[in-house]
Amino acid sequence: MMTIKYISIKQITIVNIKGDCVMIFPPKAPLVKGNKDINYFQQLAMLVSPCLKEYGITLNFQGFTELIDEYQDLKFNDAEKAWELAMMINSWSDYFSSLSNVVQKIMLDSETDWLKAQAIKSIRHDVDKVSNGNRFSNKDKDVIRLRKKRNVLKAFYDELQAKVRFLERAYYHCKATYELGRKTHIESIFGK
Amino acid sequence: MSELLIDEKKLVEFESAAKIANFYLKKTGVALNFLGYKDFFEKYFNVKESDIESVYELTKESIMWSNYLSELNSLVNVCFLNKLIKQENSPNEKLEKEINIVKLFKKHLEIQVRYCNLIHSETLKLYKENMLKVAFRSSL
Repeated sequence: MMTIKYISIKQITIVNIKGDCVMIFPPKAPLVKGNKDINYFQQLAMLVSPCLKEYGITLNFQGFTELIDEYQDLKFNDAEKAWELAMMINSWSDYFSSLSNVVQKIMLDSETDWLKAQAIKSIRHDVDKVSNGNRFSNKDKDVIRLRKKRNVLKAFYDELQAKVRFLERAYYHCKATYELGRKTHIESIFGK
Repeated sequence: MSELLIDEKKLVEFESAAKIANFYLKKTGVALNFLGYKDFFEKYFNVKESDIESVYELTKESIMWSNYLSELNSLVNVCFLNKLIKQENSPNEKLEKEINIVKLFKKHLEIQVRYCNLIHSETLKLYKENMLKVAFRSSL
């Protein structure tokens, strides 16, 4: 039986009495916002949230942190829990996928807005020399604002795509845990 | 803020690149934290193939690290793209250097994400093989 010497909350590392590291997960909340500890994804969501609100979209990831915690605690011989998690992870993957499609649409629209504003300012400044006009338009406050908006939407969209891939991997992992857990359990009772 | 002295040769290492990038990213509110990342690799390099429990832990740890680094990469990308806007507005050598460092760090992060994903695939395969061996032995 393993004895837990200490558990660090920020750095999820558990060390047994021999000093061997047992579970080494990444820090849960590496950033501090006000008096709250947050993770990189939450920070990104906070940055993108005002842009999405303009389109009537409110981000809601309630329950996602708990799901990740449950996944981190999954034991290799707990087939039932693995099955339950596989189902939940699959639903979250679908949720992130749907959200990424909506965000992609908004990102492409904001890209159009930015290019449109840039073209108008560029033509107004210099009709003959495009590069000269572009240089001027890149300094325009409205163009900068639209470009920054597009940047944060692009980063969030990329992250949502990465989340879908992560959840697909986690789903496959849980499914394998369930299948192998059942297989070893049945074969240890009935034989092959 | 004082100027940072950079040893160019060390930029090929993830750790050195992270330390240098941290100097610039801190200013934009992105604090880097890789506590436990070295321990994770130490565990991976020292794990015994037949140790089902440790191999299984590694499958979860690797996927969690991959997710963590990917989240960081996306946040760093926002800083990087915004720095590009600044550079186009008022080009200067100092900012150019800063952009290059952040860009290099982003590349490092992408490599680390791929590495963690490969560790996940490898350990998952190993876990499956071990479990099938257990199933075979217990059925004899």
